Amino acid sequence: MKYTPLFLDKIKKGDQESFEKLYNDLFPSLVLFAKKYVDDDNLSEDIVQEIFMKFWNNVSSINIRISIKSYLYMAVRNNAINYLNQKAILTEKLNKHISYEMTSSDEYKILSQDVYHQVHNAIKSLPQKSQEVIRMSMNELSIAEIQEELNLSKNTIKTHKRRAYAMLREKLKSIF
Amino acid sequence: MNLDENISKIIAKYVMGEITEEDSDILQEWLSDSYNRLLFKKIINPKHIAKELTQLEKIDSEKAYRKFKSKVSKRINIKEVLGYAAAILLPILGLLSLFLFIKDDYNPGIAENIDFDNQNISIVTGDGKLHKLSGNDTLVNTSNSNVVVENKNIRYKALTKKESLKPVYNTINIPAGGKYKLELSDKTIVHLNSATTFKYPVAFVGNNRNVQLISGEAFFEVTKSKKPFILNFGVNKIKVLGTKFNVKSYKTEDKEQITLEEGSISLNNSKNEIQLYPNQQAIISKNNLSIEIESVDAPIYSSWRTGFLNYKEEKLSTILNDFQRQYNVMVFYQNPEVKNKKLSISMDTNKSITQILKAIEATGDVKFKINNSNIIVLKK
Repeated sequence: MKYTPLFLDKIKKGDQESFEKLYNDLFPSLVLFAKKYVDDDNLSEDIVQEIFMKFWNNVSSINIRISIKSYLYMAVRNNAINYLNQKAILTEKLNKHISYEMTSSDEYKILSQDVYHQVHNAIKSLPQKSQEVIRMSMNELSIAEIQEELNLSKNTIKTHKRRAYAMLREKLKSIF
Repeated sequence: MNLDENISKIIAKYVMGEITEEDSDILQEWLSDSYNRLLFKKIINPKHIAKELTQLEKIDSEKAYRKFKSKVSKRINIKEVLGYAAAILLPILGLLSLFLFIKDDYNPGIAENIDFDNQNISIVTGDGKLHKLSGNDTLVNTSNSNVVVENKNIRYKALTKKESLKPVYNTINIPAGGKYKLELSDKTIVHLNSATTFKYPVAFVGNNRNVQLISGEAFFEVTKSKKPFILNFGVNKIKVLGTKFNVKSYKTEDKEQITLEEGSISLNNSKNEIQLYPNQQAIISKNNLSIEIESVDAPIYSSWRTGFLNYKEEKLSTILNDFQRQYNVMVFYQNPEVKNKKLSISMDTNKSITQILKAIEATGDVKFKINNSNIIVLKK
């Protein structure tokens, strides 16, 4: 998904449909991203939920000059660090305090998350069968294993795989 | 740092086995950096990809969105219900809150009307007396004994519990051309720029650490504590736990600028509330209280502490207003329309003003005439 200034304007004007699109697009990636900091599924979802809540409540009045995606990633990261630091204060382990300064590990987390996000999106837009084949081959399963799992002939799988990749290429062309 | 979406797109294409020649060139160049090569190798590791994709698959964003919507609408309902009840409840709540919150309520007080001595750094103490800070022997506060005055800075020691029942506020004024460093009783350090007035308690009492930037520019290094540090300026409030940030809020300017170097802060005025993260800058327009957020290189905005001024596409009048304060001069415009000329310039105020004005002249449309401590701006 591409977020144009026009798209942001729509959300600013209170367009729920656009916001829902943004939410559904980024929620899973942001949750996994938060998890890389706090290492807890539920907490990660709560953090992302809270960020979307703040974003939705305040978006009309703030002027975001960086991309929405960068803004949300940064917000999630800082909230996750806030959480870890609060925990450190509560348990009086102040020496465990984490600085908000961006580090190279943050850079890696954000970049890799966005790569996986885009790959995931490209796959999601394929027909169901092709998606399954791709996912399995991404999981490094051999054709034999896929065959067994899906109960399909060897050639059918090869065709699916080829077709899936070809369609993916097309999709990617239109996305990028 | 912001996400380089161009690079992530190209890496995604690479992972999918679809990369154009042009992209490949960009990727090659990006990979010429050894650190980027390391990132790249980690990202394209098939095991990582497979794990991430499986996990992404498992997260049900639609279910989460339904939860989100119910939370948002619940909030609206509560508002409606409260609306009906408000007529009855508010007077009662108002009375209650008077008793409950009166202690923590910060009252900016009357310090704004004091005539400060504009030649010396001076402090008005809680008893309303004005003290000049010259030499090391000034006794700043008569009712409290926790003050240490050193050359170019003041330090407040924490009080023992017995002494600290009611907050006693001091107000410090830095004249044009001056700079000063203040250490508050919680060891928070406040760097005060020229022509700045700042109000603070000699010791923090209660659940919050309330201070007020009446007018001017200051850089804060707030110590970590469970008690929130609250900076009041104009109609705005900044709430932090422990951070480094710069606030520029001169009464004579039409905008206020908050730049965050470390930590996170929440900023609010009657109209907006935002969260600010490192290397972000919020600009508040005094006209409509709107807030704009931008990505910046934060340390640049606090480099005035060492005499550096940096401007990016800034109005000439804003730059020269800073000049009046830094050099204690007056600026006059022969032709007011030059005030809005935009300029990007970095300068070292340890240099003489003539050197700097020459540098500005070299960039464009204006000329300066210096007459004692008056500067006249002419159109070229």
